Amino acid sequence: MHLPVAAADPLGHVKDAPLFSWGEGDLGWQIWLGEKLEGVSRALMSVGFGKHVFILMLAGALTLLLFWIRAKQVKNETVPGRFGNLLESIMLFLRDQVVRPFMGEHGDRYLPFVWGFFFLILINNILGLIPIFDYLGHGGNTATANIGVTAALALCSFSLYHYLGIKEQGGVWVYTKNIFPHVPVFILPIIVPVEIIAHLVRPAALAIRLCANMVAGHTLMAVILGFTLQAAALGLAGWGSVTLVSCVAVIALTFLELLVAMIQAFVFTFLSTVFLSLAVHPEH
Amino acid sequence: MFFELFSMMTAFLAEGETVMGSKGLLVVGACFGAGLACLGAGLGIGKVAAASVESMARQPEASGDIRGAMILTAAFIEGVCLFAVVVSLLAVLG
Repeated sequence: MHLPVAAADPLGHVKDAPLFSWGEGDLGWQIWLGEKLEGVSRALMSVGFGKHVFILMLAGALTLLLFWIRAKQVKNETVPGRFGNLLESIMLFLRDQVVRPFMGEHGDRYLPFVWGFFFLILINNILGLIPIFDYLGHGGNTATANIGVTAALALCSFSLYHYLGIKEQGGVWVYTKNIFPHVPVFILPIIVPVEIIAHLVRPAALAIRLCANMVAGHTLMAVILGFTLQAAALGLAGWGSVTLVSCVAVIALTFLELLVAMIQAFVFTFLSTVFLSLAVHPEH
Repeated sequence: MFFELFSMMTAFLAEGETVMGSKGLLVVGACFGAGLACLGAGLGIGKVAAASVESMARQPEASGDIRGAMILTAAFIEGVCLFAVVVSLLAVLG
């Protein structure tokens, strides 16, 4: 059993690992099926398919499933039901509070990208809080705690808003002229490098912000739970009180992590929309 | 109980010495950096919270918008703090 505690390695609960991996000497898992699963998982890990990749694929499948269910419901209903109201309240919030203030009614064509980013990152973050995936083996189950995953998402956002900006303004040269602010010529040698660095730093900041929030939250929870293992020398009263306080703290931290999961998904989507609006309508 | 806590602390320090032998100053620097970053984030988010709570008190009908802006800006400031924590982690573990 791999408990989500930070026994030896504080980051052991968030790092990537083979999908089914158990250490030597784990009681009860040394059966034929367990060994086969572990062999396949380690072989996949050696080409790069760790646990985070499978969790990411699961989250993508869940996102598509949510929207597919909603689409089937929309076809033959008069008013949205419970699930429809839940999904549409989030979707309308993103449309009215995030996209329309920046791009007006014209921004409705970019809504699928905004909704896709939000729901994918939200489901990834929430899957990271479900402890069942921890028991499958070492490593963490938050795909967005992997800098590779968040860098890929930030790269998708970056290429998306540049591509849509080029398509909207009709050509790479027009887009490049519009993306730098219109200032007198003698300030341009200062403005152009600063703007280029800003454009390169923005997706990096998106990636690092999401990854660091997820890593920090899960590492903190694992370390506080690890105190229960390390306090074993304190006798029954000391160990019991440390365990009680740790568990109460981790319960409170789990609620905080739920909030942080939703806030970070929203911040990623909000910033992607802001950059998209700057690329598509630079004068706004 | 205090004697047991004290002996546990000395055991942790001894283990730290064996684990982190020659990287002692690096670890101190990294921990200092992460703590300073938390200080900055605490000050910034405190100012955001103070301004938003005061404006919610002045105009309660705008509380919804103000709450949204408060959470958004707090997340940005938190992000900056976590950039510094990432740098510290990379220094210690890399």
